[in-house]
This record gives sequence, structure tokens and C-alpha cells, in this order.
Amino acid sequence: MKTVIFNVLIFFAFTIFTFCTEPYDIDLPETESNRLIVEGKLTTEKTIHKVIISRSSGYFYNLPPKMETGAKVFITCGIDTIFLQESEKAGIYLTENIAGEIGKTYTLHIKTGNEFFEATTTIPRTEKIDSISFRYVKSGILRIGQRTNKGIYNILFYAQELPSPSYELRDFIMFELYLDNKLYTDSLDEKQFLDDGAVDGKYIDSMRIFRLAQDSLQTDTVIAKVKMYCVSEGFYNFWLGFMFETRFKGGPFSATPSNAPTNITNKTNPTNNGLGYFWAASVDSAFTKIIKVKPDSTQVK
Amino acid sequence: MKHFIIGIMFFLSPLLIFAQKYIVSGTIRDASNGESLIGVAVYVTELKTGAVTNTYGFFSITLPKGTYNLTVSYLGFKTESRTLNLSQNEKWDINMVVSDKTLQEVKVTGERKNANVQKVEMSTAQIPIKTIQRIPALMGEVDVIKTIQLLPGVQTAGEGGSGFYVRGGNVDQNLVLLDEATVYNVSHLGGFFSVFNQDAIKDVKLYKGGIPAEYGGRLSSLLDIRMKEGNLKRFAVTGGIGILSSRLTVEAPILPDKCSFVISGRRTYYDLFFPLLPDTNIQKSAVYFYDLNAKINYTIDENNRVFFSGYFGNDIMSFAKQFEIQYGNATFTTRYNHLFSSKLFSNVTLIYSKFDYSLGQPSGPMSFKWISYIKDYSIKNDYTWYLNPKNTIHFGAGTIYHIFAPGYLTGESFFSMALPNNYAFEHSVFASNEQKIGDKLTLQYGLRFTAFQNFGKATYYVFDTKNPEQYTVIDTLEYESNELINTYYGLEPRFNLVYQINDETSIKASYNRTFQYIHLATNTMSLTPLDVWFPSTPNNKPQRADQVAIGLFKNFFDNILETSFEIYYKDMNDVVDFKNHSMLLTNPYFDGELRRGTGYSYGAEIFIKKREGRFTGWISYTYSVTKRKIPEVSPKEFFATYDKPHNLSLVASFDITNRINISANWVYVSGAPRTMPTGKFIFDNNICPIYTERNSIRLPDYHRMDLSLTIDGKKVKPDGTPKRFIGSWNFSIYNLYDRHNAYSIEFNQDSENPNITKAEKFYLFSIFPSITYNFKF
Repeated sequence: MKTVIFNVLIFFAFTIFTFCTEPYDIDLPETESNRLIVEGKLTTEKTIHKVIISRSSGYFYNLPPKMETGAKVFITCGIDTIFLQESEKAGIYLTENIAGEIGKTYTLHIKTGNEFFEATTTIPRTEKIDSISFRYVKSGILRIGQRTNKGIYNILFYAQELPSPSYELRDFIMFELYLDNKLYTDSLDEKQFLDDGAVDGKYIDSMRIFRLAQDSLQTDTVIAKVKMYCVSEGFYNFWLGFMFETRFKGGPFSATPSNAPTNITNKTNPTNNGLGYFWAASVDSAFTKIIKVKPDSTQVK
Repeated sequence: MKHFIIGIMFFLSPLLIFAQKYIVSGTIRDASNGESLIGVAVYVTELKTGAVTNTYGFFSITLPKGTYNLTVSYLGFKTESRTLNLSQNEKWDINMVVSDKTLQEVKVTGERKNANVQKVEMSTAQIPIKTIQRIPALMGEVDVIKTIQLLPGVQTAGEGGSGFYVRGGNVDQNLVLLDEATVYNVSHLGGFFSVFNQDAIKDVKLYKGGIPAEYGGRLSSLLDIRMKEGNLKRFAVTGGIGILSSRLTVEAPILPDKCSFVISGRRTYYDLFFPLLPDTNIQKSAVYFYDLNAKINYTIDENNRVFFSGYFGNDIMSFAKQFEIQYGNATFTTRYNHLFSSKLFSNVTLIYSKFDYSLGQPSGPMSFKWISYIKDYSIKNDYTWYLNPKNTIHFGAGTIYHIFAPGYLTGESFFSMALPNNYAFEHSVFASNEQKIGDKLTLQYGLRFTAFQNFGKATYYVFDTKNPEQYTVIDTLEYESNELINTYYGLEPRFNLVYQINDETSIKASYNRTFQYIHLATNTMSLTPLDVWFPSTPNNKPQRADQVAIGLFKNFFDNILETSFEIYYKDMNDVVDFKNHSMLLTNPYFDGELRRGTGYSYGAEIFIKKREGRFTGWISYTYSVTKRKIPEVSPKEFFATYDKPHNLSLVASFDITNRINISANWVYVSGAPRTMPTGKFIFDNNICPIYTERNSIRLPDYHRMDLSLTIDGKKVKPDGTPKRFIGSWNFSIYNLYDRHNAYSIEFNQDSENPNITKAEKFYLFSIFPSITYNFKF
């Protein structure tokens, strides 16, 4: 619902205001050019999980980010400790083949230089996907400002949403799309999120979660997989803040900018917290076979 | 308590003075159409005193027995004089005739000579609609709001926008009244048009400070707009055809000299050409607005008069039947004027006001509609008691019943949500006296008492506010229908003073306290029609402001040139802000998004106005500072987004001949402060900016020049008789020298190299010519 409203707002901005743009030279201070950035994930899937640690840069710094090497990284859960090893790629720290457990709270610890950072997260309960399907339409809007007449494959979602005990304890869901087992939505702004406040306890019937352009299908038959992550409200708010600052920008209808919320705290110097997020999720997934340019859908769970 | 009693006695002291006195009273109208004239001076030569007509054209003067010469003057009209041998109460209704000099018709200023110096009110501006019509306009659409943006102390909400900020107050801190009904959203089409149709409006008055005790409910300003009453003399039509919209006004007597009506409509029409365009989506789209003003006035007898007026407007935007937004205001006012005696004028007003919007997807399996509105029902009863030439007392009371519907979903989809309504009463009682003390000093002092009550049925949440980034609900309170939940009170002293050094020079001072019980939920840099109004609640205290101002007023060259210099300081408490990345729509825990703090604003305003002659216009300069302190949003004090220290406007109008006028204005405004990135990071292959201080870097300064040429048709036939049909062409150029003023600076990733980030200036208008044909008959 929130995404719909943002889209309507952006539509309003585009409808009313036909903006012209031109490059603009501006000197910006670089006061935030060395913050610790953490991108960490732990799910209920048994796999090697990774934590990426880097540093922020000046806004107009046009090279890849500086990666943080040589850090000591581990995750604790009660009395259990999971140590992460730095991989061959600088700044990427890996676990063994492990799985998180629903309801457990995990704390990420990072020691780098003389500073200690921590981030805590809990794996929420899981929701189950009933099925997914696709529906082909000849023309439509891929996203605001991008219309196509070459065909669109809408990925539709079916599930019995679990009732939440109360509005404040509602569920938050993130969707990822894989095509032929390759992650298609490979950046945060391409993933879809759902706050279940408006659908709590209802049967979700054919909710469109992704739109695929014709040219995104490389072969005549493609296996589409949707992974559904049940995430914490904190990570949802991080995504919301992140999107406010990167994609939900409606020009004059943007809110006053501010930093995306974070759970990376600096235990040594609380005035210099890290940024980014360490998040955890329970996971379910479903598949469908997309047959190119055929309107009938095939549902496979 | 002792001081309170002394204060009351001081207030009532004028009532205790008795003498053998008689009353001269009446109503002053424009002879050509029967419209009552506001602010006309009735002057008693022998006593060097007088009165001014109220908003209904009524005046009353109490004089001792004797012979007096009375003069009624109003610029642009022939002066009326009469010698009265006063031995009983006299009724004197006056129909003023427009001055013979045709050229003077366009110079009517709506004020008597030296009025700006002599009247007790300060920080006000009254603009006749004829002045507004001469000012160059964006897209040829003459606009009340854009004209007041050219006055000192008023900041624009953005290029071409209809929102305005007064002396450091937010947009929602302006009370905008159309025939006494609150107009909650003054904009059409995102602000390019205001909702006020020039042909339906008679008078516009802006109070930036020194707000009279009869008005309240907003912290910063009052914009009081009065609609025309309708021509009592003859059938008349006024209209205009522009590049974007057209308008038509019809007015006529229903009963000659007793009852008349006016009806005025507008519609934009460029969407009517959409079906001709090749894109099928555009063919199915719509972007337009329409509005309608209507009024009937009926003079029952010399002591009773009623008015019915209304406004209805709607904006509709839809794209290919996939998205649709609709929003609009509706107001309806019924007023009943009654003269209890020549000294006591009363007015009873019943008002309905509504603003609503809806958005959604009109068709398809996911179709839905989100509907939100605010609705008011109010009643007001106020009195003007013309006690004697030295004292005029206003008193009255009123109540507003507010219904806030923050939103609910309808439609076919499985989405469902309904946020509970809020219900509240806003009561007010006021009394004030304008008292002349000697020849030089006039005081206006008053008190307004307000109360705001939340009623059930309602649900309120109790929040744990320890974490400023995220309040959490710790308790839920349910209230039954009509159950009183909470009451806030406010005592609002109002005070104005003028000390007249001579006829053309005075010093003024004012102080006012104001409370605001309803607020606009907006966290965007520009207003959107989706912003909802919400009430003060147990979680949300009313806003309070105290403003002091002093000023020097001086006229030159027999009031041809008016000047004023004012300085002000405004202190604001419990100002409303929202947490970062707040969600103001569809949020049942809306109160938990609120963050509160303080604010202040100070400034100096210079106004120089040439009001007569072929060349007229004004220079307005404001220096101001506006800051906010909201600790839970920003640890440091920060500039308000509309803090623009230097604001200069030059407005000039020159009558080349009786029929040809050229006008120009030039504005220069400091760049507005914005929050800009001071770093960036990468997360999941996306670049995200990092910010340090709120509103610490400014946009480039803004300046722009507009030009217009108006050519009126001949007003007389070759045989010397007046023409019935008069046409007029207006040619306007907005942004004459094509400056690309920054609307915003946006920061984006390069589409080809995601490591590259760049800044882009967004601007709205290049040079923009327009043409409008106006007519009347």
C-alpha cells in the first residue's frame, strides 16, 4: 500500500510538473566520508552467509568503495558463537555452512582498528507461499515513466497471510526473484517489500509482485523462483528509508532527506555509529514456469 | 485577580460614559452595481474624527447634538459631502459614483487617504482585485495568492506555487477564509493556480500580525477573501479566455436594489485535446480542474440582510485509467446581518467547509480507492457596537465542529484499511475595543478565549518515547461515542497601538498570541493534495505563538507615496514536525510519527508604494531569519525550509494611455536551505547518500522578471455613449530573461557508471508567454 501511494505521489509530480534538468556544479562537504558500512544477512536457509564491510566516501567520489579488511567478525546467539573468515575478496566475511533459527536473536560483532561495532536482529516467524504464477499482458507500465508495448510478464503471488496478534506485531515481507536460478532482483531497490497491515490474515489472491519485460527472458521457457523473506520491522524501516533516499524521490514531493536507519552501533564511540544493516529472515520459496509470449499460466510449487 | 478586575473595568470604562448624543449610520455602496464598499472613510470635519465601513459596508458614528459637515471619500469615487443638523438619529445610505476620470478607475486603491498611517492595525495589506489584475501572471492566470507573495513578510512555497509562508510561519499556519469559510487547500493543479477566481472576488486582506481578536485558530496569518455580492443594478457578464482555462461570471438583480446573485465558473481545458494525441495512454488520461463560486444577497429591509455563498472546486488527474487522484474544496456560508439599532450591528454566520481527496486505481483486479477528508460545521455570532466616536467594541462567540477522516480504503482488491475518524469542537469567545485617546493615540485591545475538545468515538495510543527514532505503543485507550476525551484551553491577548505624529506619520506596535489546534501533516518540501489535517490530541499539544511588531509609517506627497518599516519577532512553541522517513498516510499510529519543538522568526520589512498617477507600484524588501529546534529530528537548531533571508519585489504599472497599460515585476529571493549529501555508501549494489546537518546548504538565489501588456477596448462609442461590451487583451511573459531558477537540486547515480554520482538542477519554467482575452458587458 505504501509503495502504491509513493507511486501515486510520483505520478502526481510527473503529471503536474514537467521539470527540466541541467547539470549543476556544487561543492559538498565530505564530513561523512569514513563511516563503517555493514551489509550482513542471516537466514533460515542452510548456506554460507556473508557480511560485507566497507567505508563510506565523499558524495562525488567516483571509484568503488574502500573495503574494510582485517576486521574480526563474529555472530553470537546466546552462548553460541559463529566466527566469520575474511574471504579472498576484500571486505567480505563468510560463515560456515549454517542456518539461523526462527525466534532466535543474533548479534553481529565487528572489531576493526580500535573500535567495536555491534548489531542485533531476530529471525521472525515464517509465512508460507501458496503458489506463484505469471500473467502476460501485451502492453503496460514497467515502472513509473517506463511504458512498453513489447509485452510484460506479471508475477503473481498467492498465500494465506497469517493473522498478526496486533498491528504493532504485524509481519514484514521481502520478495526476491530468480530466473533460471540466477538472482534477477540483484539490488535492494529491485526487491519488493510488503507491510501486511492492509492484508493481515487475508488470502492474498494474485497480487502482482514483479513485472518482467519481454527481453528479460533469455530463453523460450524460464523457471522463475520467488523467495519470500519474513524480515524484522527494523529492516523494513531501513529499506523504506533507503528507498526514500534513492528511489521514492518525487522531486518537490520528497521529504526532507535523512539517513536510512541502521542497527550498526559503535560501542567505542557512540557518536560515530556505522551505517547499513545486519538483518535476519525466515525463508520460503515457490516456482513457476514462464513460457514466453503465451498468456496461460502454469503454477508449480 | 486584582489586575484582572482592573483590566475588565478598563475595558468597560467607555460604556459608563453618558451624554446627549445622536447617531449617523448607513450603508455605502458602489452606485454602478450596488456592491457594498469596505473601508470607506466617513469624516466629521468639525471633530476631526470619523468611522470606516465594515466588511458589509456599514458605518455608524455617534455625535453630540449640533451641526456637522460629513465627508465620505474613497479613492476612485466622487467624494460625497453633507451638512447635518443633528437633533435626532440620522440614516444616511450612500451610493458612491465612480470618478469622471476614466483613467482613475484603475487606480482605486480601496483605502482612504492616509489610511495606512491612521488606522490602528499594522502588518496588513489590503489589495483591490483591480490591482491584482494588472500584475503579470503565470500562464495569464491572475492570482490572488501570487500577488500577496509580492508583499513584505510573505515567502513563496516554490516556483509558480500557491502556498505561502508568512513571517516564518508554516503553510498550515495561515487561516484562509472565503466569505468566512475556511479553505483548507488553496491550490489547483499542484499550486499553479489558486482556488480563487479573480472574477468572483471583491476584496482581499492579509493580516501578518496584529490579528483582530475575532479571528484565531492559526498561528501566523489571516487571509480574508470576500466574494462579490452580485450586481443589484443590472445584468452583467464578465469572462476571460486564456491558453489554459476560461472563466465566466454572470451577475444580476433578482429584485432590483434588494436581491442579486453572482455565479462564476472556471475550467482548464488542455486535457480536452488529449484524445487527439497519438499515445493511447494519454488519450485515456485527464488533468484538469474546475470551480464554481456563487452568491445571493438579499436586503430584507434596512435592518436585515442575508447572504448565501458557496464555493465548489475539484482537481482530477488520471493516467490511462491506472492511477487517479481527485481533490477539492467545498464551502457554504450563510450570513445574516441585523441592525439592533444604529449603534449595534450583528452578524450570524453558519458555515460548512470540506476538503477531501481520493487516490487509487480505478479499475482492474487490484482496484482501490483511498479517501480522506476534513469537514467543518460552524456557527459564529459577532457584534459591532459603535459606542461613541472614540470607542468601537467587537464581541462574539463561535464554535466549529471538526470531523477528521484520515482515510479509508474501498475497492475490489483484498487490501482493506480504515483509519478511525477524529471528532473535535473548537470554541471561541472574544471581545475587543478600538479606543481613541486624544487626537494622536488609538488603541485596539482584546482578548480571545479558545477551547478545543476531542470527542469519541476514538482510539488513542500511549507511546513510549524513549527512542526518538521509533516511538512504541505501550497502551491503547478506547473512547465511546460523544465521550469527552481531552480539552485544551487558550487565552489569546491581542493588542494594537498607533501613535500619530502627524497626518502623514505614525508609529505602531502590536502584540498577539495565537493558538493552533489543527495541523497539516506534511513532510515534503512542497505541499501535496494528499497532506491531511489532524487535530490536537492527548498526544499532540496545540501550537502557540507570540508575535511582537513595531513599525514606522510615513506618507509623502499628499499620500501619493506610502512607506512603512516594520520589525517583528515571533516565538513559536510546540511546532509540529515528523520523525525522519515518517509515514503519514495509512498509518494508524500517526501520533507516533509526530515530533515537537520550538521555532522563532524575526525580520525587518520595508514597503514603499506609489498609489496614484499613471505610474503606480511598490517596492517590498524583507530580511528575515526562521529557525526550528526539534531535538528528536535534528540535534542542532536548523533553518526552516522556507528561510530565505533576502526577499525583494519590485512591482510597477504604467498607463501608457487610458486604454494601454504595461506592468512588470521583478523578484529576488535568497536560495532556500536544503539537506544535501555529505557522503555515500553502497548497500546491495545501490548507492545511498549520507547526510549530516538538516537544511545546511542553500539552493542558488532566485530571481525573475515578468512583463504584461493590457490593451482595453474602447469604453465609449463614437457618439460619446458608453459601450456595453468591453473587451481587453492581456499579453504576459513570465520569466522574461529565461533564468533557470532551481526548484531543487537532485543527486543521482549515473545510469552508465553506477559509481558516478552527480548533481542536477531541476527547474520548472523557461520563458513562458501567454495571452488572455477578457470581456465584460
